[in-house]
Amino acid sequence: MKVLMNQVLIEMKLFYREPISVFWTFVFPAVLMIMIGWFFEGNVTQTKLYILDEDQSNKSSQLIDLLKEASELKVKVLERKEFESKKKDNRGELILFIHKGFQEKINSKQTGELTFYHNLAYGRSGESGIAVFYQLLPSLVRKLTRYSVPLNIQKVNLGEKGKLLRYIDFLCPGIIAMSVMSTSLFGVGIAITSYREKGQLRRFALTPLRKPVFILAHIIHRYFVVLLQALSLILLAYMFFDLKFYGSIFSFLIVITVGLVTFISMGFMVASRARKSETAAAIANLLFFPMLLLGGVYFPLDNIPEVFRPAVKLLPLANLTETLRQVIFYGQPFYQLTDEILAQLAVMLVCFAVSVKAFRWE
Amino acid sequence: MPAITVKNLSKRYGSLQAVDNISFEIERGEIFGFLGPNGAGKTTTLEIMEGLRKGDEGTILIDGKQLSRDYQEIKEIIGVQLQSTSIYNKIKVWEALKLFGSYYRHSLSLEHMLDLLSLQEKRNSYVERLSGGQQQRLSLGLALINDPRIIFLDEPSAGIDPQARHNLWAIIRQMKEENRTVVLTTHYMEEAQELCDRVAIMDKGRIIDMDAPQTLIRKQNLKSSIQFLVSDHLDISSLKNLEGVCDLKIVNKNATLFSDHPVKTLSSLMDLSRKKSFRVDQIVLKEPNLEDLFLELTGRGLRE
Repeated sequence: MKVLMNQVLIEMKLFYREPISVFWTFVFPAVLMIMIGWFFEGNVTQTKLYILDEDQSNKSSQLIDLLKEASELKVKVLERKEFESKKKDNRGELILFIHKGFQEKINSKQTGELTFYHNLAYGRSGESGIAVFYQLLPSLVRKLTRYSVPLNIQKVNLGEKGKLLRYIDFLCPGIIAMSVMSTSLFGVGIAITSYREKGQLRRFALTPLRKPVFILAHIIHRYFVVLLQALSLILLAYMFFDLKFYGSIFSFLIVITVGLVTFISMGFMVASRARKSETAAAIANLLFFPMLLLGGVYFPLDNIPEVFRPAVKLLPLANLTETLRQVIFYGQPFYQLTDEILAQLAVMLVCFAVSVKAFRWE
Repeated sequence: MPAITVKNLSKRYGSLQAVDNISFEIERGEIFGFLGPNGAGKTTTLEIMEGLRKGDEGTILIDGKQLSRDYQEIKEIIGVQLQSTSIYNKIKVWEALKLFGSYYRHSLSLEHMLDLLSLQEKRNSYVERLSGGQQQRLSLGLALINDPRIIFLDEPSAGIDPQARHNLWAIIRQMKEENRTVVLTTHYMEEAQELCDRVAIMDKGRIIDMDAPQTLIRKQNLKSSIQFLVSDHLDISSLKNLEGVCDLKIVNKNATLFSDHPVKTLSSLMDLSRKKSFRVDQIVLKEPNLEDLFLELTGRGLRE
């Protein structure tokens, strides 16, 4: 235990004596977040509109075709099952529900019923979609009915009131997760490999210091470094972009700890055998980019093809991003996120075991 | 019980037989040296004994314990200085000593080590800022921090100046006085001759001979040599008949006499020069050393 503490302390001192590593850990991610945050402060202009057509009639499909012509909208027709899941697990998509009997009522000059489901928690994109719809309404009605038949349009808010998810609220947890991943994979991976490359680990092999203790010490040291990084990013987002933090600090710490330890173990796995820093960097990149792509950092994962879903469910970055978002923005407690947490812990255990097994001093 | 017992040790790297079936014992309190040119297998042998590498065949006992089985225990009682030890660049001298000390059940105090290594003034310096000699001393310090019974030093005096080398030798002798066992490799014959109780002469993975340096030289019946400059008009045959001379060589004006009794040869040479009145300049008397021995045994020099 004393050995472990000693080792952790030394690793920390060594870290802060290298200005370059401090720069990549703290300054670079901060700059990145500010830049992206500014660039994308607005919203995406084209609104997605999902439609469930319960009526399945000429009139309803005519309506859908007319909406498809509107350049401000991107229309997708849903199956019943998809509709239920979109409604239940809504991420700000706007859904138009065409009630049964729509055609009949219009033809008999009664009020045709439509319902919009939107989610105020995800900002105004849904509302702007509805606004587009209202602009189109007179011409729609004209084309659909040839009379001026009123349409009864209801709005249902699927999200909690008062919360507005801006891009920065969406982005910040993603950036934190990505920074955690990159400092862990590259920081740990390359640092350890370059120690090995310079023969600086060889000497340890001759002492009674055990591999798991050395590895654990490094993980603990890195944990504090990356935790500090994550906290500074949150603080930065709070100061510059007025980030909303609805969750509990405790849940946040749990969730971030799981993510950190997982990625640091992964970094160690990268470093466990590589003899050259270039090799370690290549392996780290191999893990980094697919995860970045499928990690839901910059864009929601709703649109990725079905085949990738199970894989995404296992990816630590997607899970960390998701848990961070759920805790920070939706105020979920950590125990509501067990799937994501367990998936990460499983990856962590595998990585740690591989590291200990495969680790070599020279 | 010997400090170290090695039996039938072999190690192969691809097509290179680095260590070829060697066996030896090293006694307690002994300074034991491996002497040989680069690539002779000294370092490989040492690193196998330290546990850093695994031999292909053979058994090794350290302090009566099986190396392959009780390595974790053995680590507590051995100290190792590698040929080039690099540790973290940005660690301070005192931190390095303290860190390595913390790995052992028993370790010597920081102050004691700094005094022993004459590194008191450098205690707060980063390792990367130390001179070559200071780094060498620090790495010796890391080897001694656990108060080891058996000490392995791989080329301890490589690349350090003569002054530093003598300090190093003093420390090694002190270790012997404290009844520790020191095993070292070197390709400096002076070092082997000055320090070692016994040396094993290695070449191409084998031990060609092993004994006390003086015994080895005596065994091979190596001659002392007397070198000097001679004047032009000299009857060579008269040199040949000097007392003790068994061979002579004259290249230009450089004469070398090989002798069993250098002192007698020298005095009769002086007599001859007075009688025949020729000058003998720049006399050098050379006792046979391990270099000569190695040349004799392998037909090659140590530094080739």
